[in-house]
Amino acid sequence: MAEASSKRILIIDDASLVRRYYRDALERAGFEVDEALNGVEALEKLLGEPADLLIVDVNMPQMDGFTFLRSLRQQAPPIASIPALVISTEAGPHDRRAARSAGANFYLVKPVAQDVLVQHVSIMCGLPA
Amino acid sequence: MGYRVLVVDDSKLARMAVAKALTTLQPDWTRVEAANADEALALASKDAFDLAILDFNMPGHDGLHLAAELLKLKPALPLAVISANHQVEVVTRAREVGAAFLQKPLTEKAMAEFLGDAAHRLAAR
Amino acid sequence: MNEFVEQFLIEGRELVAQGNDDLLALEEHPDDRERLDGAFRAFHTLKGAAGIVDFVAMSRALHAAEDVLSAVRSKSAPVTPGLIDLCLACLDQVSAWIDRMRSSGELPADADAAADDLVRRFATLASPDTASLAPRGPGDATTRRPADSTGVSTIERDLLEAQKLMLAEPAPEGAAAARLESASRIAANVLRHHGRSLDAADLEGPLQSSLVTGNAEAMIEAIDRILEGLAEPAPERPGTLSPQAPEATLRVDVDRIDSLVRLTGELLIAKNAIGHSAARAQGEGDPRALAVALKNQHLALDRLIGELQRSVFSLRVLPLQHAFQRFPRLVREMATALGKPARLMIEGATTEADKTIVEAIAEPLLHVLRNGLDHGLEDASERAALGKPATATIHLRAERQGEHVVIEVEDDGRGIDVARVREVARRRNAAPEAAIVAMSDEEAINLIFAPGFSTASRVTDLSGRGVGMDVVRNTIERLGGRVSLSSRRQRGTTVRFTLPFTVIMTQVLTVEAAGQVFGVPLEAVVETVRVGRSAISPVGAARAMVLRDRTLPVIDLGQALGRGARAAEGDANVLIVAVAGQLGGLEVDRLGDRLDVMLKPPEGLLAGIPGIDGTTLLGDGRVLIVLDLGEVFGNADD
Repeated sequence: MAEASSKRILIIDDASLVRRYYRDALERAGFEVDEALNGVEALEKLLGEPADLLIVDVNMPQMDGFTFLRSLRQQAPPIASIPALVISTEAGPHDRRAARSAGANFYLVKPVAQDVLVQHVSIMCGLPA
Repeated sequence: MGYRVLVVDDSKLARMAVAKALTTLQPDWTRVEAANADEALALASKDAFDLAILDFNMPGHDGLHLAAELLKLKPALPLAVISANHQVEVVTRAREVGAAFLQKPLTEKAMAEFLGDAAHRLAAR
Repeated sequence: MNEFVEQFLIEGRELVAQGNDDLLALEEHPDDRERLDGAFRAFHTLKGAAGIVDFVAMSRALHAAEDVLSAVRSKSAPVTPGLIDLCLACLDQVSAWIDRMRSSGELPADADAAADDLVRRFATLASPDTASLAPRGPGDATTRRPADSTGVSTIERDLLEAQKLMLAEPAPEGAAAARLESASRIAANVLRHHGRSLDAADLEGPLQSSLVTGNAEAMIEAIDRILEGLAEPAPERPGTLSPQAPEATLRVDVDRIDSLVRLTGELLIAKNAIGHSAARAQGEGDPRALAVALKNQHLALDRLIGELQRSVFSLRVLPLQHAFQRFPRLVREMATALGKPARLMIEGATTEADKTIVEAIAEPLLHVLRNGLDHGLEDASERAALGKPATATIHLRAERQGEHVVIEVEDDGRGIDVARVREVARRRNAAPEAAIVAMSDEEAINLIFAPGFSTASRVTDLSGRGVGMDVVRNTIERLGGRVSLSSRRQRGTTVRFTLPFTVIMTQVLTVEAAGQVFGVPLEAVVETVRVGRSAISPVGAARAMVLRDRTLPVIDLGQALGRGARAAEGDANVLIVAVAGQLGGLEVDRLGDRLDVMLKPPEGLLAGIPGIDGTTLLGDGRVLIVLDLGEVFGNADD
């Protein structure tokens, strides 16, 4: 049976406070967590070691979340198909659509409570209820 | 200077929708809100407004009843009655009391027509 | 989520509740014009609200309902049970849509099918000729089941819907395959999470087919099948509460906000005064005058924080109606399922209680109602023989009594057979024989709250859920309340919950020592420090350490609990606590979390033990012992 400790989550966000907030929640739930400050760094990290789920911020310097996702989905397997959860400040239908179009598997609007995040990540990683 | 609009609807959401259309079309106009006919009549006695937009279907007195009462107080008041149903009876009765009829969900076009007409009448006062 | 959707969710919920109320009352009194108008207006206003947020499918379904009610208003159609049923089903659907919108922030993607179905059923209802020809299909039999009782969480459903939406978007060059695979991974993981790992393999076929054809259709269909599979109805079980998300928004009186604003102002003044004192301390003013000033400021802060706490608690107050509103329907469903006609009379639904209580009370109340219907009420023939009205009456009452909220469920059924309760308690060892003999009848009746006790002679569909009245009692006690019961043979039974009006939470810090977890009241904790164990030196039989030029007694909690003394090496975690104006150090093995708990005085085995302030039940059912530091340090002096 799958366990949180066998799942690696990569958080991609330029705000250290936000990374820390997600990381705390996920680590407490037992996930293995890594961080990247932007899309470029995330791609570099993934080429080194793939992840089970990506948590992606939209607004980042160098390479924004959507550009990163589009680029990710065009990489070679296995990293191209890593599921991605986008967390954005924008709640509008256009932003949601842009995320889907870039290849995001799910979309949450900030602020995301820690338990809500863990709940979504657990299901997206296929952990037993 | 902008005019002051009375908006009466028991649904806050509906009032928000009217407010949004008003702000878009006439940013300088101000607004006063009431949730039912009694509140509206209480306001009418102390607060000045130049035109009114009334929901038809409300608990207590309906919008047409309220329209008639308001017109007793302010005979030249431009009025619109709005309803989600385009019932012939309501439309006819609205016309009889001298109110415009607007259908929900409110379109900007219908709203613009009513506001334009009201502004015209108010300016000619 | 924009403000319109937010307001839609708030208003939608209220209108659904109002519609439900009016429809049920209308069923009872088909001629009640006011209820009819109320129900019509609820549907009408909901329709308007749906229009504002562009929820076309919902508008359509509500319009169909409105037409039918409109026909009743113009006296061209009668109020029939079928009509009420269908209108209620429509509100169920609306309620399910609202729940989903609240969790996803988007309009439900598949609302059209459900709306079409409702429109079709309303049309059938409106023309009875075709209705009599139409077979009662399985769709009709499920009408009354709450739309969200499918055993699948909204998150799972939303995740699957999101994959469909993503796959429906045109993919950029070279990204289609990766996107299909990622969607397939999510769908498989949802199945795994749902305990259906085996079915996850069935996604491979559609995935390959979509990859080969370059068309996502096969995958989308596969996800649709999962959604249908997940939606397979749970076995018929009337009278269960569908999960309801806790309210995320509260409506608050302006007065209560104003009082908070005023308090904020006063706190600001207190803060400035302390700043002023700090400046004086820096300027080396008269230390005694400074101490007096600081002490007064501390008192002022203490009072303000107390007031702030009370004001904030008063914000959390809700009418019990939130918990009660689903009961008339549930009782009606359960009564129908059991074939025992019963009517629920609610009084005092506007009584207010803390949000925590309002949200937690529905489940235990439902259990009591279900028990009453199932075991407490006679069936119709028995009632007729006793000269009782065929329709039983259950009263649900709520009332504020001083600092308490009292909720009662009273039925006019057969009452509890005390002799039988004693017999069962004996057989199941619910209490020692001597105690059972010594109990008065009143005390003996309360044995039904003992763990594992149930007087049901047969396991019925309704109560056979493996949950006894002991769970009801536990839930109420966790909320800081009491349960009591009174009963008269052939006259009926009353279950009474006495609950606190405000739920006072105590903040505790959990600590670990000698392998056990304890709570320490946070208000006593001044700071936590980590010091080398060599810095803690023996002073006679006790130990002490020096902190900022002050010598403090140090107690090793593990040692106080009987574990041997430790070698003087490594680092120690020490809580600096203030007890009766004195500082002391409490050495613990590990520091835990901060928790808000409801403290209960120690009882049972713990009652006689010194050093225990109280206990609290943790979320996982464990008992957390909160230490009385006064006792802990007091004993150390002896």
